[in-house]
Amino acid sequence: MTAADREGARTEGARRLNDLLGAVVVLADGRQVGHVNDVRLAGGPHLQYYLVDGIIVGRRAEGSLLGYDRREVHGPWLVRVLVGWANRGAGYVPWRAVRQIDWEGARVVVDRVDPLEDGHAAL
Amino acid sequence: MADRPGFRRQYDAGLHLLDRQIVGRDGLPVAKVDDLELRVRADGRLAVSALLVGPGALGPRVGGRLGRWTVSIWRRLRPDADPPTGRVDATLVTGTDSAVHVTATTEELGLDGFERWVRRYVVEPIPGSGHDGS
Amino acid sequence: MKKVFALALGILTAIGGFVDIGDLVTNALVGSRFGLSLAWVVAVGVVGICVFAEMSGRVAAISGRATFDLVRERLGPRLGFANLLASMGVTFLTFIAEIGGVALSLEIATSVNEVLWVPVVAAALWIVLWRVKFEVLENAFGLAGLALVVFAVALWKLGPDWSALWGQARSAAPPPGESWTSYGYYVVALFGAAMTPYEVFFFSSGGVEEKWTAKSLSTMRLNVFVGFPLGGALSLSIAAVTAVVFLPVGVQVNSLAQVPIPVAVALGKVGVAVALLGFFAATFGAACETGLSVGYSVAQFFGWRWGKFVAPRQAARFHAVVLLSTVLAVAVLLTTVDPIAVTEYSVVFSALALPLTYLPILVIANDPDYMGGSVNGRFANALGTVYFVVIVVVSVAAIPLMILTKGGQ
Repeated sequence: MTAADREGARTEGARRLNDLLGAVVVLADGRQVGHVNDVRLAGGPHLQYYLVDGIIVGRRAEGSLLGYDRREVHGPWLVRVLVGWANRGAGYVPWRAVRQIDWEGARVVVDRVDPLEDGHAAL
Repeated sequence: MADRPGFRRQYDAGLHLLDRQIVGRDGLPVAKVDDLELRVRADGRLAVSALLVGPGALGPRVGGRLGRWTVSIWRRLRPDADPPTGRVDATLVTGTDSAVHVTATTEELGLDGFERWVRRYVVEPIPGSGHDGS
Repeated sequence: MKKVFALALGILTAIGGFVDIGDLVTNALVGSRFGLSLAWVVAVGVVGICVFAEMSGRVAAISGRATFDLVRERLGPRLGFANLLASMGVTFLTFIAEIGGVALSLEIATSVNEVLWVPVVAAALWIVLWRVKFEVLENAFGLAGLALVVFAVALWKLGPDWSALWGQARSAAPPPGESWTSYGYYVVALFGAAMTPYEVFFFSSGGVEEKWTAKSLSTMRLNVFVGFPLGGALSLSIAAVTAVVFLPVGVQVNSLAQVPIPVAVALGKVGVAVALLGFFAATFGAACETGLSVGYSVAQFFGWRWGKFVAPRQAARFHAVVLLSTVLAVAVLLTTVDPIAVTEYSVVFSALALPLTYLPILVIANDPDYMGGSVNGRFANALGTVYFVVIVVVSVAAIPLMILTKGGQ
């Protein structure tokens, strides 16, 4: 490990995911549509080749309850109902619909938000 | 789990990568994924460049006064100059299952600063520290 | 013989949950004031901890991950950290009480004051946690704690009116002279004592220490379904003997020294010696369990190496946490605080902290990403949901009842 590697996220052009999570998501006209709950990564075959493919938008700034807003919550009915209710209104913004990311201001401007389809990714 | 875990077709970074256990080549825990480093490419796309580890990465995620407080306590416990954010380059990740597997050990990654300090000043002075309980 | 030892983890975990210092005194007190009218709470608690421990054990066997490891993954760092502080607090309070409990047992046996025993006990305990093989620890204290079966023997010897005892149990209501609010407080206390988070941390971490795999599921379940009911039976027998001996004469138990009296009545000095051995083993075992669990929860939250299956110098931070907890516990006990009082608070707070620990496990036990094909079946989910509701209700009722009854008076 070189000294540069151990400098933490101060390598050039580097950002932290946490700075994006919770950011306010607004449309071009300024209307707020939610907060960044998560980002979807696609690519491969190894981790360094994965790119952010889209943003998952939710109502809560803190993120989805138990992390289960976008897949079938397998589980007891009561838990599914609670989690589904807490995470209602989740949406997805594909990368090409992202206009601008203001990292310092924690603000993302998008063209549109699509409904969130069940992201049941195969291993 | 699987002998050679692979990679998913797609990941939800917060769901599948953040807060996951990082497991070293020796099968032992290394750390948790406290944050992810994203590299902004020339074309504006964000690529995953590293796993971030340590109080410098975890503090901001816990957030608020509690997070800042924890980070400053950690810094004061270890006055030697190691930075509080560790970095595991994304190229070192060999696969994921319920944990994130990497090709190195904690020592090789240089992430054992706190452990080494505690070992040297607290654990090693006590007799019998080299015997495992098995 | 090996088969018996295979159950040691379950038995030791159950001892920490059902006959640790808090339970020893609380069950004796409950028997002397309420008879067996609260027996149903122990039964409900046994089923509840079986449900919870089986799920955690299954998750540990299939995914190789212990409970607190997964709490952070599902709750996120902020809520997970809050949970860590709460669970650690409860477990640490219990740890303090258990060390005090070992010292109290030694005081009864030797008439040397408890406070003087505290540093000795803590030193011995810490050496055990530092050097002794996990397996030896389980086997020695788990099985020695079974000496408490002397209470069941004493009950038999006393030749009680079984139908009267059964009548008390069936009534599920406070006897004359006791109010519904005190009854309610003890419902919460007994339930909280049966379903403490540290039992699950210890059981699942012990499973990972023992390298459980999918093939270990039947052993794991045997541990759960033999260990916890056995623990529940031991605690009920303590309540029953005090119900037989103390309830008719209106004597209330409020110290550990009174607890062996019914055994003395039935079996004389030998019985008391066995009971004291049982107290010592159970409280020492529970102290091991809670001391290790403080270390497990911290290490697993931050992703450190942990456990006794690596040498201490390989898991330095984990052992440093255990050492620090032991030193702090001694400091607290040297202020001559009453360990029994500490335990009363820890039980109520544990009822409070339980929902946040339980929910991630319930959810992960259903997640095929972690569990493959071993996800919860419909029966497990039905029970799991019912108990989730029960846990939330108990958690909500805990503080008001504690205040209303001023801690169970």
